[in-house]
Amino acid sequence: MKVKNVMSPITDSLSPEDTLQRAVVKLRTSIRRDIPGVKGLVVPGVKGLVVLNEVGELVGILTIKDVLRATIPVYLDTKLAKFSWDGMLEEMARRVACRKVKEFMSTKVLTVSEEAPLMTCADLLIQEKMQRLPVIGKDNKVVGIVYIRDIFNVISQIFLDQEECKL
Amino acid sequence: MSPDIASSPHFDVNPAFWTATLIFIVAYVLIVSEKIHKTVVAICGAALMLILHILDQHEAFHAEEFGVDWNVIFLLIGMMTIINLIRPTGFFEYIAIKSAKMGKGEPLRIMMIFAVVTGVLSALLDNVTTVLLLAPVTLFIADALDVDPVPYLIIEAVASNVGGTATLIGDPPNIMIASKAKLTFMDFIYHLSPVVIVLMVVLIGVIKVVFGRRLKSTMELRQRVMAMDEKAAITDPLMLKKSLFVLGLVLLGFVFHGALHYEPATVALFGAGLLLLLSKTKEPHHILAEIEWPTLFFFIGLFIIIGGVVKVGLIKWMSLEMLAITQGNLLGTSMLLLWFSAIASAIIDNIPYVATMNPLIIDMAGQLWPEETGLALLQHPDLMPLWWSLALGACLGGNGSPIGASANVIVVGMAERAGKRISFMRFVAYGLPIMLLTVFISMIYVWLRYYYLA
Repeated sequence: MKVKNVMSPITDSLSPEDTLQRAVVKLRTSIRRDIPGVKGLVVPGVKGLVVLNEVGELVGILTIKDVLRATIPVYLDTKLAKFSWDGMLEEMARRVACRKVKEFMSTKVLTVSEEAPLMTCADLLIQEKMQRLPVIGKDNKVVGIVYIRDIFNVISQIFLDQEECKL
Repeated sequence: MSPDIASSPHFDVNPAFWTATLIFIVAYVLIVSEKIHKTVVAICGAALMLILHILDQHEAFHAEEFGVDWNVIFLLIGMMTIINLIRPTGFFEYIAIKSAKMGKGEPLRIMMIFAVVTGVLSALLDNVTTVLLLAPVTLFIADALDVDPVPYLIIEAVASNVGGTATLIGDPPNIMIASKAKLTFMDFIYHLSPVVIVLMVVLIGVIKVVFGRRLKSTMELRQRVMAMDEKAAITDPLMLKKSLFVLGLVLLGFVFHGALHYEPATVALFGAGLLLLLSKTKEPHHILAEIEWPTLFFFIGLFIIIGGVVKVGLIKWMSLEMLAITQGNLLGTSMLLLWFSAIASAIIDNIPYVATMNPLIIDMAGQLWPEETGLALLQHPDLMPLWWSLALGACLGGNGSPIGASANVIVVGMAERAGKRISFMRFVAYGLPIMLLTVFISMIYVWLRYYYLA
């Protein structure tokens, strides 16, 4: 199997000019379409979305972790965080709501080709400690996303198709 | 070409002269333009001086007149190592939070206390370290009080440049001047600290006048600061005790280094070695890796480039020109040096500037008092005010623009990352008047102490 057989097609994306406010709406409402052939779980809300520019090129990825990071001031390290006051996170969240996606997205995005074998993809996910990888089609455009869970589903299906292991 | 050069008996204007001059000018232009990182420029320039046989390697590495000033390099290495070991103990966060609480959470009072704390710390440590450690806490406190952090950050940079002027170890120009002129820590305390104390008092006054009515906070916000327990910042009390013991010992060493005939670098290296030992670290490479190697290599490269232009006679030509302008009038030279250094340091990095001026002043002294040599020449009573003017001008001039001093670059960068951009003009609006005022007061001081009352 290749990456294109297990990936989830792109259903939603962000623009670098979107506000964080707009971005979280999409993060909360986007639904991962079920993958043909393999039964997965359909959960409302996604943990990350690709960011595409006006011509549809991949320029970044914004995850819920990036949204959390956006509220944490750059000057705050573990030592200073001890002194934060009740309500600080809420106050900072109000401040960044209208800031733009491009300020907080990760721009160093690793991708995988739709023609890549699953082993390449699994190795990349594990080695680079990634949760998801955008999948690039023939014209260098994003055609889908492959999640850790997608590869897990393939592996678990193989396990279950075998005879039950003897203890 | 000026006829002076050709007719001067002291050196030949040969291809080596022009080659070295060209390397020097191109390096300066590249450093100012920031097109290539200054450390890369310095290393390449130094390498060219060697490859093109302007200097041989022995001169570059070992000759006091032309080579790397290892006293400066190892003093910086020693102090950076000590600071890298103190930093994780939470000492600086402790001081900053304690200061904010001493200010009772009132924004104006906190700004004044922070200015004093920054000034004192900058006199004892280097300015970059001081603002690097205090700026994050400042941004944090400003958020807690819901006030604009920008004036606080600019005042901190300014206070660190003023405070750093006070001592031999406070600012790189002083370290370089001390090493070249063989001045001691106590010489700086005796000659520069008094005027710096005056300048700090004036700075506090300026803060009060400028910000007195603008900074407001509510009872509730003040309570946020007062509720912070500064003791929680200390992560390693045992290491903190060891650090303060060694820091105290090092400062004592600086006070007595002249009397005991130790170079400042010896004292700093001893402190670094002792604290590394006491820290019981098994991985010194972490601590040593955090030393600002790019800055140190910038110094190394620069010393070799300057050594090259000293050897070929460019510096001698410049000193002859300067003598021609000032006609040997030392009061005039002193005032000119003070203001020229201040303006030059506001525009360019004061490190290459002072590296160039040091040999120039020594050469000029050689012209004025040809019968003197060694310490008698370097510390000729009539020459001393020139060293102090250079130090005051180069250190205080840094306040004139956001690129004038490393501390300014640090606060501007940190503010930008925190989403509070400090524009060039906004910095200048605070920095330039303070620079002009402090240099003016220094001018009065130099004139009064070394000429009028002398």
